[in-house]
Amino acid sequence: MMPLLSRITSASLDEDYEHVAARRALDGRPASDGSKAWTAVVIVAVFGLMAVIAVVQTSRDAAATEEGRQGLIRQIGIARDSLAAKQSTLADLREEQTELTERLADVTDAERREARETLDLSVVSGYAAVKGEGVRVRLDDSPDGSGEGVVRDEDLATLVAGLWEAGAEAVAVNGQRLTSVTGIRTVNAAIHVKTYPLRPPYVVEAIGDTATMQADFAESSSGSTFLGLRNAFGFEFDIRNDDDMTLPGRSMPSLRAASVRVPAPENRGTTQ
Amino acid sequence: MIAALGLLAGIVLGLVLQPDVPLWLEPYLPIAVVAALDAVFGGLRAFLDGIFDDKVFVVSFTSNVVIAAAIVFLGDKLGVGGQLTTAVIVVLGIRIFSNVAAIRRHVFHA
Repeated sequence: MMPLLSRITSASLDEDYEHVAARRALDGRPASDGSKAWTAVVIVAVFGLMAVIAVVQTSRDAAATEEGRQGLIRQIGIARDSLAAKQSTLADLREEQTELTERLADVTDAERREARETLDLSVVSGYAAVKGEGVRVRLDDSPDGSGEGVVRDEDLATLVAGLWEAGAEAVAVNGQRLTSVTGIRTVNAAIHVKTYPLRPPYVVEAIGDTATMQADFAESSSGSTFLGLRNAFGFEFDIRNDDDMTLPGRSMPSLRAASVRVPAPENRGTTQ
Repeated sequence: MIAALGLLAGIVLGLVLQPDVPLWLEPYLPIAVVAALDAVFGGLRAFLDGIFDDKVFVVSFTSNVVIAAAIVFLGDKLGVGGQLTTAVIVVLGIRIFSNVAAIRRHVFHA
């Protein structure tokens, strides 16, 4: 068995030529009758024709293929441009998003600060419930039942003013928290805190420093005025410290006439 | 000499007419041309060997073209057209080279 390559090489000439030549030799004719045969010429012409057709067809196909390729390249270019534009838009948007995120963080911080401030203000102004140590004052009409011994709004207001002066941070009368718009006044026979009528005995709770409040109260002008009134009219009066008091908050009133005056914005370096 | 004129005539005819190849025939034309090239070089070598016979030439040319086209057709149907084409090209290429080498020996008497 011959290797494939050698076989192909050795049999590269059609064996038929040799067979025919051998038969001719047997018959005594010449090995070849030359190239005068017209069939061979026709065959060669057909070969030439086929070859040219194949070449022409291939080059035509190549032209069409090249055209398609150019079209694709153009499309790629267009798509690439559009992609670049979109990517640049994306980068812009991303930048914007980063900026907005930073601003959101700033705003959130500001909001938290404001909320904190609002809460602090609510504590001070009486719209948030508070707890802490303080003094509890119990005040009642004079036990002798005389008309002068009745506690009037003025007396109660003086007491409260004395407590404020003594450093009270939150005050409630009979569980009614006092705010900046809470008045104490007499309507008919009863003392009203805002619109709530109170009945004696009056319990005034004030949150503040228990170590100093009682002494400060006695030294304050309103406090000493009240103590003078008490001595003059014989009110029942009792003041003592309490380590743990809870004062309720009032619901925030809705403002109708008043509106907030916004101060000119200070430039604090925040993004606008 | 006459054969060379025949080749020239075929080429000129093809260039002048530029016939369109039917689409179904298009894949088989190149391989048929290579097979025909093999037959032509075989015939030329036989001629130089002094054993040329036109009948053998016609038969070998026709059968080469038909068989090459048939192999590629069958390969296409079986889904191995590309590989079979390669195989045919390789075998025909080797034959063409070895025939051309024999022709060269005749021409240059080397």
